[in-house]
Amino acid sequence: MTQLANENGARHQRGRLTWKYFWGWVVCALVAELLAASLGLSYGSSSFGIARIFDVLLGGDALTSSERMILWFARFPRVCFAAVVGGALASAGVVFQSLLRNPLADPYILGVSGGGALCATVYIALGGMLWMGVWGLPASAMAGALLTVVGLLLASRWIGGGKMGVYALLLLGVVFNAFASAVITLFKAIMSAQKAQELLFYLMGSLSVEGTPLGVIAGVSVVVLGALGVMMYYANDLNVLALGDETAASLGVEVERVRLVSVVAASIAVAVAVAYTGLIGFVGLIVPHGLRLIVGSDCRLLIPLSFLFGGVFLLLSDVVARAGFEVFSMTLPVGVVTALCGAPVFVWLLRRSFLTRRGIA
Amino acid sequence: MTALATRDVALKVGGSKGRVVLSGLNLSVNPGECVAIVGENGAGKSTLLRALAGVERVSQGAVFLGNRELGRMKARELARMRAYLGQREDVGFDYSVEEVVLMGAYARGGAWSLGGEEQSARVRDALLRVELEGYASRSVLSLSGGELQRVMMARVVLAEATWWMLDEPLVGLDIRHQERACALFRKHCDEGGAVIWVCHDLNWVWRVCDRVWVCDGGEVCADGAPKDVLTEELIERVFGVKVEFLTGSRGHVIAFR
Repeated sequence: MTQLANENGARHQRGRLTWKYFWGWVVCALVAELLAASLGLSYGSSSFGIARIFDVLLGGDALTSSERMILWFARFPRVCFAAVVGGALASAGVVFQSLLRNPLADPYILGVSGGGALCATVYIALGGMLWMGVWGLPASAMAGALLTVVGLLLASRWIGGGKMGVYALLLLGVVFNAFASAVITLFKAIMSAQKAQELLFYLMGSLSVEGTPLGVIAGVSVVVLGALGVMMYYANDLNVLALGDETAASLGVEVERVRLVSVVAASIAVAVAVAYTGLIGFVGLIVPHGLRLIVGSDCRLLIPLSFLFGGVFLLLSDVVARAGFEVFSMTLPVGVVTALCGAPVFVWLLRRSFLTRRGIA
Repeated sequence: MTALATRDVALKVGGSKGRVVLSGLNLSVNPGECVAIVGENGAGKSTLLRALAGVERVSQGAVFLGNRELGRMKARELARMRAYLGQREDVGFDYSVEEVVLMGAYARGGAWSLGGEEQSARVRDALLRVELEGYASRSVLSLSGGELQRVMMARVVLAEATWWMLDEPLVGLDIRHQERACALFRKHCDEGGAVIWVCHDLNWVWRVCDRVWVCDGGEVCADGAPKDVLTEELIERVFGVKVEFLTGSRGHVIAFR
């Protein structure tokens, strides 16, 4: 008990957020992101070594032209996507958790990702019948995710606020996920083996985005960064919402507007992310929770840091997915890695947070 | 002087289709007054307080602050004038005491103005008033119920609002801190502020308040100084218990008979 209390006290030495603390952490996170990204660029079926990557990034010519091709067409899109998608999932996780005042909320559990997967499955199943070309899969996944969010918003209006409303919403998410996976299994059973393989890869979350045009990468990045800007604009409102809707409203927060705009921003970020990479779970849970334990709960710091460390987490997971299974000459879907390390870490975090609450209260 | 007044207000619980708990309310409070709302459980005390604080819509009539209707004021503008403490508030995440207290000044600062030493000094002052000095960097999740209630009270102090609307602010406090909180209310009123609070302890109402509103039978059935209103007959009629007043050297105490 005593030890827990001490640990808790030490964690809160900062009291409140200061600019010095903010920039200190943001710079650390940027350095970590840069290191993880160069690791991601240098590692793979042919390794370049970090030193040569830095040389190329600084305008040198340490790589042969074929190595350059691999770097820019195969690995660069992958690394960009990992950074952006990891960031989108983790920062959206913070927003969902704050809005629902529940640490278990994340895009995956609320069914936002599941809705995207459902529509993507339908698209793959219908395949050639639609005439959308390369845009078909991402567009339908995005539509599915956004439709789910609209459904959640309507449901929350219909259920009403308060604690029960939050539980009902989480339960709805669980039920919807079960429903979505049933429909997906149904389609999988009736589609051809080749399509089923394609679907499986998508559903497990994969960063196999080699050859994605730079324009698409830039577009996705701009949308996600825009959403991040909106989330950060409302970060302090999200802090005050921790006191509950009624108290937050009495303190001057325009609860309805904050709720609507930040949910839409977070969902767009998630929708764009899952559109290209499929279902990558646990990033939105583990990264914010780990950070809460270290830097506290102030969303003004938590959202940007979750964005950056979410990217780091996914970059490293991707390196593990690629390099760790080289002996089998295959690449694991990155969603497998995030879930494999995510689930135990999550249980550990859960236990720890229960102990903290119980140990002192 | 700006007064808070209700005009023919009726209040419902459970949304617009709910039942009416209080109606025909024409009440007013001036700065400098300390007013207690008393009544049985479910009599509509909290609903009335929320309506006066502007966090709940009235189903009929209107609440005015001066000549302005509460429902038409911006949330931030209203928040600079009145501080509201809800019933049994809690904090959803692991914030520090200082962070929670600072949320009281949400309406006064920019979202990204991470203040310096001056802000910390104000938090320290607010915490001192509720006897929580040295708690600034503790986690709110590590506090006891009474300590958390005092943190929320410090949040009210930090808001620097004229009007304090407090729903059972003494819940969870030991008698010394109850006394401290009541002294804080009295001081706030003597300095030109106003306190409207829901309270179940009639002895504190008797000692601290200038006026008391008794909610009973769907209306505010009595409005006046505690010594005039809180008679043995009224307490028996409203609460259904027999009491008597014991007189000591420093005033009355209400005791069961």
